[in-house]
Amino acid sequence: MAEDKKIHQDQRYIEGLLHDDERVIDEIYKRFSQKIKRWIMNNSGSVAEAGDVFQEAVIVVYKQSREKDLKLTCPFEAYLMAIVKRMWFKMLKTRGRRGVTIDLDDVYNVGTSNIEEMEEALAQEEKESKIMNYFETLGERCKEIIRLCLKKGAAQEEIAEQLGLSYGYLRKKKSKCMAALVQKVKSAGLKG
Amino acid sequence: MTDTDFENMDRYLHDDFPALEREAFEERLEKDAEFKEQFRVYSEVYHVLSEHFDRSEEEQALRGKLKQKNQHYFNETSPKKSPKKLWISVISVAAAAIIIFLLWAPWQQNALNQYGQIEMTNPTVRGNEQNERMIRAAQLFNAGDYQKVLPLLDSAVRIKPDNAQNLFYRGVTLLHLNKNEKALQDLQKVFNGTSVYRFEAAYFIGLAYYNSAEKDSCREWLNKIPDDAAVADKAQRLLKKLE
Repeated sequence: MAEDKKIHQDQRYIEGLLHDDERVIDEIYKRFSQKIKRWIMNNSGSVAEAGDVFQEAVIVVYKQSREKDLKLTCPFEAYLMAIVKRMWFKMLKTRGRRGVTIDLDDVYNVGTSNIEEMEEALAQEEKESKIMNYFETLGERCKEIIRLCLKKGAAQEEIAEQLGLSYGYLRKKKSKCMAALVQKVKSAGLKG
Repeated sequence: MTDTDFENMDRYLHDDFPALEREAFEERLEKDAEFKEQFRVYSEVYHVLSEHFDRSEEEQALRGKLKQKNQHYFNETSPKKSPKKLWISVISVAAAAIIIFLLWAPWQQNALNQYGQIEMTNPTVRGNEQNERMIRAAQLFNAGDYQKVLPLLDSAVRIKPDNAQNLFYRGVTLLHLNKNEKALQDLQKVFNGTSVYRFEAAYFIGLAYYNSAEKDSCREWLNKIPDDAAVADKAQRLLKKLE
């Protein structure tokens, strides 16, 4: 958090998502899903698309709170709505469908600090999605090795034993697999 | 890049280097731009994957829950209600419908509610009384409380008579309050201007005529909306309804 702002009382939604609180998740749906559904449908979307966007927006908030310790300084609804709008605009653009009528100026509702964090989270989301797509094109053995070795706190020696490999061979194999993945990502021009 | 280069990047990230090799690696990072760029991408991919795998089980569990909720809240007739709640809702809706029928002539409102859902945006900068008032106006408008929002928009129009945004939202508010004549004056003024609300105003004028079953006038206004206008899709949908 760059700004010294008061944490909004809706931070409880963030904590609830982070701690998998069923009641909070239910409340999020009860309070916010219908308005977002209406907004998507008024902007050329279907009910199913509204559901997908809503779900992905909640996941973005969850990831942000888990990895970036998100602190809300605005109402949760404004924050979620701003994410939904951005995701939906992007989806419309990718599909070549015509734009929508409402502008994207959520800066007031959400606040500069949270907006910056949100933009960063959405950019990160896009980056992750691209990297995961390339990851899925690797061979099964490579995927297994990378998946096991890159999980935080994974003991490499134990993984080698689990896979029936020597530690040295595992390290070589892992960096070869990673090199193949990095080359794919690099040739696609992933921005830093 | 050689296989050893990639292996060294991995060891560096794992802090699995003796001090001397570590220094040599860092020196190369400083001097070799291509190596540095390759390491940047390697490191980025590494960290993204690491975060992804680290939370994947929790994320999958959350996705499962959200998917279930989605089935409930995002189906065509959602949200589903329990039989008891449904029964109460039916009675409430029927009672509300009778009251609305007696007071409001609801047939004139249907198209507006069905095709005219929009949100009012807030001013971007807080700081003066008028902006605070407009923030309140946007909240009321978005909550559908048109009776309360009207005096705020009246005041905004008095202060800035040529502000297209205020005129546009007042026009839409007046339509919701069934004051079509005044609504059309505001919306026509917006349409005659050059603001971004111009074609939205034409759309709402079309809607007003649709409500009063004046098909020709409705068609005439919707046809003023060019294909590349943001509201063109909605206008086309309404035109099809007229056929």
